[in-house]
Amino acid sequence: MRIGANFGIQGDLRMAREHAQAREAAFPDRLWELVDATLKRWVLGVQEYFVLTGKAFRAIFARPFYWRDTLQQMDVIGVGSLGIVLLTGLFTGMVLALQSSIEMKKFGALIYIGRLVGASAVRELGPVLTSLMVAGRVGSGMAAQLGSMKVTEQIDALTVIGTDPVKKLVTPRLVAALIMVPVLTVIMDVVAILGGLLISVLKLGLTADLYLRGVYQTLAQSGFVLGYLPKDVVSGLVKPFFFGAIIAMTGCYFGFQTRGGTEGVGISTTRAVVLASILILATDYFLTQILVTILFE
Amino acid sequence: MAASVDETRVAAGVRRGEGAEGDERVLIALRGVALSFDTTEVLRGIDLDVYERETVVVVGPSGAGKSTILKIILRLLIPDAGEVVVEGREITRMSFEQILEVRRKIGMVFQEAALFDSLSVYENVAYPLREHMRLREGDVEARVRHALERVDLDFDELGDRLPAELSGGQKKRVGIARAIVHEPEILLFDEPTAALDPVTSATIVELIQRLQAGLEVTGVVVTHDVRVASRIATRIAMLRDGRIAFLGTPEEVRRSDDSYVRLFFFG
Repeated sequence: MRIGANFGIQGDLRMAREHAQAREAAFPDRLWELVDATLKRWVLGVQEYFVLTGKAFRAIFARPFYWRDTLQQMDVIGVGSLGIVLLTGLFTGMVLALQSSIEMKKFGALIYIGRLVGASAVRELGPVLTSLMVAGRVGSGMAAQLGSMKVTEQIDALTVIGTDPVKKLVTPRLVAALIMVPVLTVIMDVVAILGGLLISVLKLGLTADLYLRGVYQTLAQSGFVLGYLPKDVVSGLVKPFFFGAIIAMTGCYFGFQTRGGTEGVGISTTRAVVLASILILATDYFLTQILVTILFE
Repeated sequence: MAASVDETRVAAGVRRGEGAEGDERVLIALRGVALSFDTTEVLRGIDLDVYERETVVVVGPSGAGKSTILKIILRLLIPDAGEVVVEGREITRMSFEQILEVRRKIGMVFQEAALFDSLSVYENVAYPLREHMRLREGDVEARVRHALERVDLDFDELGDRLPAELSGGQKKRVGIARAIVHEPEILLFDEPTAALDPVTSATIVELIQRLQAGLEVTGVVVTHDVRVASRIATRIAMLRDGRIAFLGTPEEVRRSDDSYVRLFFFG
């Protein structure tokens, strides 16, 4: 008699071994099923994201208009994010001036600090940092708020009462983001340039006039659209429209997709911020490529 | 009339239990309704007719698909197969605008009230009126006051409060007030006494009975509480394995010799 036979252990071991062999034999099939299911889920998610976006844009031009909700969301996105945008802009401009001065001093090019800070802030850092900050602050809030409404059946209640939840909840957020993210970007640009000015004057010994002239020259040298709008500014203001749409739609999409109570709300919030940030950075590359081709070549 | 599974499917929509009141117009009809979530079959061919001014209570164990039936009637969910007819109109293939028209005739009381947490009690109850009717503010206030009085809530005391400041029972009452404020023809209740203490449960049941008598609406109530079902039902439909396993009046439930029905209702 083998050890353990009396207790059925041998039988259990044999069953476990057979089970493991069966799993091993079925491994490629199971792997394929897993990949297949994941891909289908991913493609379906992308499709739903774009369907929701299309519905939200169409609803902008159809009655009823929820003006009060739109103004409320503009307040949440615009006024609510002002503090963080001001701080981010100020410190970004200051750091940019300080860091670049180390290298530029070696070549006696400190007078070009204004050009560097101006171009960096208006072309790239303003739109991208503003959008990332708003995505973190507002996109997560949208996902959490709509997610809570979803799990507590408030969205179902809206639907039952006869309200289109996309029109009532998504479109006002989308419109508000389309308006307020560019406005915040302009504020961020200005504050970042002022931050650079502060360091240039107080720490690097440049005059304000020299610094600001550098900012103007870099914006002017790329040329103007319609005779008076610097191309850099146009380029920096086109991007935030797209980023605003990404922030609102990603937050709302994950809010609507929320399942499973408070834990689900947390998961949706995290996913909304992560995906919005990735989409902003990736879209920034493609938009830059397109804008460079259209405006600068 | 105590029906087995197959008898019920054949008979649904054709006959009613004894003691049923009101005329014989079918207001809601489910015909062969089936629905799956992923690979799980939740409903496997539901046949159920709800007649005007009767209250059908759907009972069954957790996860049996009771709330799913309400969502199908509201077309919050579209069945994989079968027909759903509300007031003589098949709703599963309706356009969004058409279904909004149907939904305006329905009031729904959600399990946890589903009050809009950013709106006051007054604004919550007034919401359906503002969405569906062009009323002067004075008329809106009068209707909201009346709806709150019907559910024994004091407009002046609670009107300005937010849902977070209400007790569970008060929330449920506000949810009922919101559902009846636009005077719907059909009232749906999803677990009206869930998560309430026995005393509050009893008052909610009494309130539902009063509303049934006063408003003469057609009702579909989903509950797992068999005492609630017995008190408010004209007929009771019992779900099991995605099908209606029993359909009859409370009296027929008491007389039933079906072992599962007896186990479910009498322990």
